[in-house]
Amino acid sequence: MLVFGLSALAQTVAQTPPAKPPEVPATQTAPPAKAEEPAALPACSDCHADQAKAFAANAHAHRKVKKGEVPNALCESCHGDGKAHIEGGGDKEKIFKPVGVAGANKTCLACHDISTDRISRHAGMHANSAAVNCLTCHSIHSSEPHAPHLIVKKQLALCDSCHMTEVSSFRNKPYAHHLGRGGMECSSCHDPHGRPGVESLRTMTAGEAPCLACHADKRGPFVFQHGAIAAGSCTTCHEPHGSSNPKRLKRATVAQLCIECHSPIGSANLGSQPPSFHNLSSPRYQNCTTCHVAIHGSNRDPQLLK
Amino acid sequence: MNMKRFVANCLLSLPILAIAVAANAQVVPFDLEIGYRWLDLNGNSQMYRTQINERGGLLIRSFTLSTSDFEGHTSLADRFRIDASDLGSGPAQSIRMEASRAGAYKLRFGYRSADAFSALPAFANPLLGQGITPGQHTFDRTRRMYDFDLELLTDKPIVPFIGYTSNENSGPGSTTYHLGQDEFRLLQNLHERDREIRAGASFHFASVYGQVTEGWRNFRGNESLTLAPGSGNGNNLDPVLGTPVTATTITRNDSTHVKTPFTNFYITGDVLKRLRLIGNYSRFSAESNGSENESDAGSFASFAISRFYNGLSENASSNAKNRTWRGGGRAEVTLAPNVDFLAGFQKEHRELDGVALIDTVFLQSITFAGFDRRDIETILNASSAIDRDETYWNAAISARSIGPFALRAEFRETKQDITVSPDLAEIVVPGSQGGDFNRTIDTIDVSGTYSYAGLLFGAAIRRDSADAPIFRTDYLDRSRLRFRAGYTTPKKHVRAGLTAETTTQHNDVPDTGYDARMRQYTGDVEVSPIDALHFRASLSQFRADSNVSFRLPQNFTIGESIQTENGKAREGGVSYLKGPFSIDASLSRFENSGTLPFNIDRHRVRATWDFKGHTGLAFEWDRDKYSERSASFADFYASRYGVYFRWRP
Repeated sequence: MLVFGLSALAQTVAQTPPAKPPEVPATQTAPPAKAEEPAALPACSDCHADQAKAFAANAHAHRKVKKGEVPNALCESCHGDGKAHIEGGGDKEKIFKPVGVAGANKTCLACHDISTDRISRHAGMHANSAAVNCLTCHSIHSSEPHAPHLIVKKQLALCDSCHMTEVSSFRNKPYAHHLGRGGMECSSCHDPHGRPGVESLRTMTAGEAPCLACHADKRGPFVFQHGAIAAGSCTTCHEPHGSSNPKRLKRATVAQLCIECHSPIGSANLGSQPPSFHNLSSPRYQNCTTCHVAIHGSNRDPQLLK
Repeated sequence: MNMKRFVANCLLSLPILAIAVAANAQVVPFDLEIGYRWLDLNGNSQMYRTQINERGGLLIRSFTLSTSDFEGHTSLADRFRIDASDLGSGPAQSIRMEASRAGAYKLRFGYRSADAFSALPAFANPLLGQGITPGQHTFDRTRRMYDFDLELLTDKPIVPFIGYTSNENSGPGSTTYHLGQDEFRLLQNLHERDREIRAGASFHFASVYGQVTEGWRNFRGNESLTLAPGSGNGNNLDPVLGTPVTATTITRNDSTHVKTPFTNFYITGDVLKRLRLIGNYSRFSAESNGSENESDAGSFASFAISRFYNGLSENASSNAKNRTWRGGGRAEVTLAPNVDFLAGFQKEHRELDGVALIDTVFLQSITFAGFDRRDIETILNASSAIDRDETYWNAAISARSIGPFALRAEFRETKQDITVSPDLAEIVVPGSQGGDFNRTIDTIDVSGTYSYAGLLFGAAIRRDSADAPIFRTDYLDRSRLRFRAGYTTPKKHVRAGLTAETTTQHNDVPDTGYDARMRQYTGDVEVSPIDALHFRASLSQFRADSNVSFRLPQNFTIGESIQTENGKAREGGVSYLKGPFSIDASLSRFENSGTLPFNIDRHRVRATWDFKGHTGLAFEWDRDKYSERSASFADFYASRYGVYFRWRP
């Protein structure tokens, strides 16, 4: 279906006559007034040919490139007035180079200072600071060609620069999401521009936890909810990053995981006591989910047996 | 199946390529790596597939096509990009496409596929002691996800958008079913599809912007289960009250349909020059309707009706609802350049309730004493409900740049109020299955960094204090300390980093005594004596210890649940790039001791040779060795060899 749709779209494209090149306004084609007209400055690309060529394909060049040339005004939108730099023979001291927190403040955040309930590029966990700023992760001129959003490295390697422990757990532990493959990245769950703490997690369009974006069957609602999910969250039982335990559980065995909550010895916590026939010394009862298969919730059985 | 999917993915790519060619673009970066991979697998292939699942076969390792025509020569798209990875024999595959025309539209399409395989030797396996593996819970499924988003009039104050997402999960598996005082292995066939349509608009007027989204989600799940061949004797070989429990047929079919309309809204306004206000509201109302029918025959026992029976016929219908809304407001106040005061309030309310009508007929039942043979029908009309409120507010000062320093301090209070109303049928042993649970958590979070001339120091301290636990493993006190240091030489020939994190949490309520401590340390160094040559090495350690008291159900004595993990990873690698040649090699060893001791060794080598301009070959060799120290039935040793053709015109 999708293939047919795209084929139809492709045919439509093929039949579309090529658009005319944009007409040059008459005012620009008129011969310049010789006496008053100041001498035209050289183009930035005369010296910075490689940067200009690469920049022509940059999203920031949208509809601003003229006949393949990057106009000086486009460079100056980030680097400031380049006249002194050009007249100084390329003096590096006479051009603004966006670096660090000040550079990002003046350039990136002039347009990208967006705040929502979850993200803030101005005040989020990776907010523009002395230690980490927009230009730590993004590069206008030398971004990784295979990565989106002008980031400087492939995402896993980029996040690994600071979050080594977390990335190491994905790389080394036996039970982990396959990051860097199949479109799953750190940013599938975390928003790098998110606010600190739990708000760095992306939410689904309806506001639910990011786990449910893929694991839709766990979303419910169920008639009989497992309290660990309804009153807690997926991370009550599971490690979202790499885990040494099967099913990315927080404990090596199922019975151990379950019994730690289902043992209300003297306190009034949520979690019922298993009946006495659950003899944990018997292999039959060491895997609670052998019977309680509908552990995420059931519509048919109060004890989550089916 | 791999070849079929490979061909399908190629077909999927062709029309997209056609669009790109038609775009008559000026700059066309193109990158293709396609080839074949061989797999040499020894040991437990199911464990290999559970953990890694990279298979042999045709593989498009990567594909990128990017065009741009920012001068507007074409009428369709002035920007187009497609990226694909691991199409073919990869367990996780993706295609991502973006097309846009300035001021007209922005289109994003994504396809992701993930193979999910699980067949663990010890998991859900009461028969492990008899040498029977794997466990009884296995699956071999594929998840396919499609995303489509279209924004229109992208340079106007109001930008309408539509979107569609499909998430399909299907495939065979096996599971278990507790029936008549025994557990039987069932073959399972599952098909689930979740579809979402959304529409809305972003708006931007002067310094006020926001977005409103209205969506509709539709989930349909169908599952059929039948008794696995040879599983009629069940897991429990002992007779129940002198009568063997066996099954000759078990058949179950169920379907679930969930409809979820939702609304999502946020608005942000720069009210004054230094004050930004943000408001948000989202809600959804999910309603699930389910039905199931079951038909079983055999010899079973039920303590609920105190009878033996020879068959069971059950029909169940259910209705469950989840009504959730979340709303809040925030303020971001700029006190001075790079110094902000931040405050916010959020409240979430969730109501979960459901009813189920379960009609069960026990066929040809007879009392345990052998009298009164007849069919017995039970009807359970059950309902349960959970209400959950969570509110929090926070206030923070963030000084992002005071010379080389950055500091942030935050206080946060979170209140949880949960009411659980279980159905009486849910309560087997009275107590702790329902009630009102309240918990307030106060959090103080302070962090700071020093960054100067390539040197970086960072530290963060977080302290959480709660007045009561809801679950036994909830903390009353939790402390987290993080430290980070790094140094990069001016010409970036040497980079070194160190991170350390320790988290302790306690719940010292009498009879619980929950203590947990987690420590993570990582150090890495990267040396580049020349630009073309990089050496890297890292050491990391993950240690976790926890213990909590619990009551053994069988004799009511108090035991200790102790979990210990001590994982050490050593990694090293080298990469060299010179002219048309490149090589990248790495090896790692992860040793885990504690409750589940095992070792993992990984070797990776990738070499490329561009023999003509931008045309070349890539060679890959990967080796993964997994070995458990307590037993060897899960061990595997796998090597993969790949040869790929590279073309980057």
